[in-house]
Amino acid sequence: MNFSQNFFEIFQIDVAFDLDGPDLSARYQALQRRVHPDRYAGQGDQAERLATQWATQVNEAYATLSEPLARASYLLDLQGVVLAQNPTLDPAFLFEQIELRESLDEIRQSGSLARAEAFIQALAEKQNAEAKAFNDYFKASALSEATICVYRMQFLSKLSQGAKALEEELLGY
Amino acid sequence: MALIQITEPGQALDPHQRKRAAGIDLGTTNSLIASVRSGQVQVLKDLSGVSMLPSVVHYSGSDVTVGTEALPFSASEPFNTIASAKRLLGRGRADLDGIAAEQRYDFAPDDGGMVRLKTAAGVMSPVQVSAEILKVLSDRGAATLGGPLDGVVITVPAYFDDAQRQATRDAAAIAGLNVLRLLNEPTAAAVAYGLDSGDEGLVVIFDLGGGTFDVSLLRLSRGVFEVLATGGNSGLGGDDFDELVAKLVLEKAHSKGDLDASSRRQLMTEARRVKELLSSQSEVDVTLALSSLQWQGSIQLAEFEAKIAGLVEETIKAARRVLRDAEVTPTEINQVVLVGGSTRVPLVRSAVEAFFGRAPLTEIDPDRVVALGAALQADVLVGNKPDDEMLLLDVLPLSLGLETMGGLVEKVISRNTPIPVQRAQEFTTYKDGQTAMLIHVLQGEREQVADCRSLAQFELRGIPPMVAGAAKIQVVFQVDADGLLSVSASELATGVSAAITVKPSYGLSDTEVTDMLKASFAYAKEDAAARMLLEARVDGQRLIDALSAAMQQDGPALLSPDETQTLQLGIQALEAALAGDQVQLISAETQNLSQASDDFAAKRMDQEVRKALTGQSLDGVLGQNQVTADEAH
Repeated sequence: MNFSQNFFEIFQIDVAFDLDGPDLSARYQALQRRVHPDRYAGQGDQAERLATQWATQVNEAYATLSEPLARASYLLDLQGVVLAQNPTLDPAFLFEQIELRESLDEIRQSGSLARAEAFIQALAEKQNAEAKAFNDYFKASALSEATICVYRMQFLSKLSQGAKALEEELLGY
Repeated sequence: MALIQITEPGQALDPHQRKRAAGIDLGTTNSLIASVRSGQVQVLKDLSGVSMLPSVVHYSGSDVTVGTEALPFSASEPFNTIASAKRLLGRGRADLDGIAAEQRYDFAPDDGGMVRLKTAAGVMSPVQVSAEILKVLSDRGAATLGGPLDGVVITVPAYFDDAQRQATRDAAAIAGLNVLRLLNEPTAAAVAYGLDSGDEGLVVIFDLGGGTFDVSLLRLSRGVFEVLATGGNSGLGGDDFDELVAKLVLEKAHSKGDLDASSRRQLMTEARRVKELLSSQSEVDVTLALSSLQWQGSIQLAEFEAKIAGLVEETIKAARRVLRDAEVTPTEINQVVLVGGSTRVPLVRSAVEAFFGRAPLTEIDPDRVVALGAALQADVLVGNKPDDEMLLLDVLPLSLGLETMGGLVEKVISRNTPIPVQRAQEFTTYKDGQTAMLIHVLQGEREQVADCRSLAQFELRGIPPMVAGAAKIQVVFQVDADGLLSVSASELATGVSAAITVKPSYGLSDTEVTDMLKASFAYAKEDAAARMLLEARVDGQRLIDALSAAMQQDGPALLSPDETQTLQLGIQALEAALAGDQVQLISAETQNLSQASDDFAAKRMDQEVRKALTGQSLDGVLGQNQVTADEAH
């Protein structure tokens, strides 16, 4: 199986951060039409195994390309950038993160669903801004700046997950 | 063992090659089988013209009766008459708290994490009970379609976890069925509706059955059914409404509810009758003359609705969560489809209508729609419609994870991830010289191990002794297109790999299934050896046919002369084996040829992937984008 193709090659789109969401979905469906194991049901182990491997790979590619942080990390990976486990970030950003964490704790104490939702919304705006910044740096081949953006996106994403878990809790799920 | 068969559009199958395929809805209360015949999908009936088979099995000393004939025994021999076995599949005693199980079943100790039931015919697993139901349906299918079924699609609630899915597969194996796919019930319903109406856009399937509740959100576009999110509760359904009606009766009769098992069954039967009548009238008269309960009175619709309001609210909450997972608002939904007998309850309908702000679709009988959809997919999967554009893309219903330090669960694959999927996670040792690691696989959304479902536990041994934190243990989760999980673990740092693949521990071992299969009546009737020879021949011939066709089509482009010769020799060897009657020789030659053609098959698959996004197929798909959900994912 030809797994040497990168995810952009599998989807036959340009290697770039900017992409057209509906177009990606349509390509995903077109690929799955060809490789999904359902198309090879009852054709024996070999066919089903190959199809399952391909369908898995297409799902992995789609998951990576459709999520901004995963897509950004993957683009850096293709450029040979190895992301640090514990990156050093500028103090102002870290201080803001601590503040955001404290507000989230406060919201948890207050038990206010409305505040949790507003918090998630505000985070989403920060995430979008960071993604835009990444796009600009990446297009300009400023890889070290783009890498910093990814670290920031990682922080925000983790915080957002925490906020969403809190929201679920407050919704009673 | 066939090479990939890629049939180009327009290349119709010879009518004689049409396979016997069916869809089976293995329900909590009733089960059905359906099939596509002369282009029409229809539910298959038994000899007396009845299509619904009550999911009830009665065991006497030597006899097993299933369906309507078993029903009368539920009052006289409640513990020998197993109903709602679906709710017990893949479940242990501890999982069954909510369903008043003590009064309905005589439990033997759990085995392999699953309940066992004491009956006059011995201790039975819910898997065996379900297999009895499947056998009756399989026989009905064979009788109607003129021969044994080539393949079936069996539906399961989307919210079924891995244990419940595996148990369903095991039941099918015992019944001697070739399962093409386990299909989620809501997806089946969407297929039944979608193929008829050609709808596009976002569709919610709200499926409230006898014992399970599912809600799924799908995106329909040009024959592709893409599940975006799914949720529900595999232990909530019409049975719970019956319980509440029974409770209401007991309250009104000032009874403490200390009924004997037989009276209890009769009360439940009456409760169901009352519930069903309340779908079309506002009051039902009740006369009970049971050995331990006498009462005469009436039940009002308003009283019933007050009792079930909490459960109905639960279902709406689950729907809200599914929309939230997919980041969709109720107003964006293009259609709402009701499935399952319990959606006949007026309060359920009005709650759904109020939440989505639109009247739900109910044109197809909610009791049959799932079986019909399954039959349509079975017809495609078995190969009867090679140029069909239908494709179902499903998701994992519940997150999968591993136990980490402190009794917490670390998610490896989160819910609503499209399947098939494979994810790997790396762990390390926490003690110097540690040579083994316990891997505990869990399913569920909660953080604590105790709140999730334990699927499997195994130990990875033979890790070379190293300082703490130096070993790299990679755990790989694989979920196939049926939603079934396999897990393997290996040590990466030294290249010494110790890997194990587990099958989750709840269900039955392969030997247990084989034993049950051998013990089953259907199997005993047949000559096992003859059957094996037949199957081996079919496999072998299928491989030759597919490979020859593939070589004709792509051989010149993809094979070297040497490779071509190797494959031709393999084909000749297999043909020679097929002329004889040695099962082992045929199987060995089939295996050899299959291996020899592996590379060729892989190359053809790669070529398929490239073709997917070029030329005609792309124009059709990308020409006009559905902008129903603006962002991919």
